[in-house]
Amino acid sequence: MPGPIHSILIVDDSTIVRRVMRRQLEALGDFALYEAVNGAEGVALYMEHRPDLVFLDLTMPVMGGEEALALIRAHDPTALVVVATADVQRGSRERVEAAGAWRMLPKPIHADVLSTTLASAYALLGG
Amino acid sequence: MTPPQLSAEELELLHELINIAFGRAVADLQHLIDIFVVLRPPEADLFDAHRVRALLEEHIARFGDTAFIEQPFYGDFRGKGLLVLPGGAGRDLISILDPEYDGTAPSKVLEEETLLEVGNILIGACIGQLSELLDTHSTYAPPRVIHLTPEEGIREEDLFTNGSFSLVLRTSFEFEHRNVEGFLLLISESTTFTWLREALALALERLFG
Repeated sequence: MPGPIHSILIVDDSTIVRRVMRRQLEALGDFALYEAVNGAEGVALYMEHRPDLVFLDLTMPVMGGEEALALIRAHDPTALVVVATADVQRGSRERVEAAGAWRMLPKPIHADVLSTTLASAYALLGG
Repeated sequence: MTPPQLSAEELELLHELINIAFGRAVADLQHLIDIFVVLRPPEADLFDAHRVRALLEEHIARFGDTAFIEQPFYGDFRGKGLLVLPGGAGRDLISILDPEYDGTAPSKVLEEETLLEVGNILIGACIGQLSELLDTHSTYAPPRVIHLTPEEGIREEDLFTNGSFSLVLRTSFEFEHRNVEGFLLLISESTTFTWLREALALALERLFG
């Protein structure tokens, strides 16, 4: 699938979520995958690699996803960030959308949803 | 006694499931009452009874008068939900349930009823969502409120766990704009672990594909 998407950053404090998402993404294409365990690591990896797409959890230790999203978008207003979270409150959705998240996906993220999201990102980026 | 085993991967999956369950629970709560809940990263670990006691005693020592809303749940996944809030939270949370509340000094009965109802809603919603994720169904006993102070400490009858080892799922939160922070413990006895291992394996496949 890759097309315009070559690299993806996964930011989540859950080992199992990162492992499952990596497995799902590897089945969908040959992406360069980066993993971070909190928002601070995620921001640092974003600055270093400028991935085409970011999957970002909200509730994490050290630095949460809302703060990381703001820093990433301040650094790169074109950053394509999918917030993947269990915090599905209306208020959380409004906040991350206002902060520039492209989409918000409720956890758990099934392989089919991930595939559809990648296809949408592909279309958005002109693939 | 040999500690019962849940693997690191099983605990990690439980950690994620409680994260999802509590997130869904508070979102459901928003449909009922107008409140935003700030969530903190959850924890999942095996505790023995001494560690449960130490955790609760440490909290009481640090924060003083504490209200525990305890609610047992039954089914394949069984145990107790324990919502831990500041002792005065009942007063601060009345307006959640009664938007017309005029702020006059509430009676102790009204404070207790508020704690019971908030506990009932949060514990019930969280266990309900977790049970759904594990593809099972839980029933509940009525909740009760226990107030403990640093001077009193935790009495044996209030220890909340009667097994030697328990699975403890902990998630902390804050009711935004109400200055009330607390945490929810879901304590499940080791007798559920055989069922839980099978349920987790099935959930991993079903939920993530």
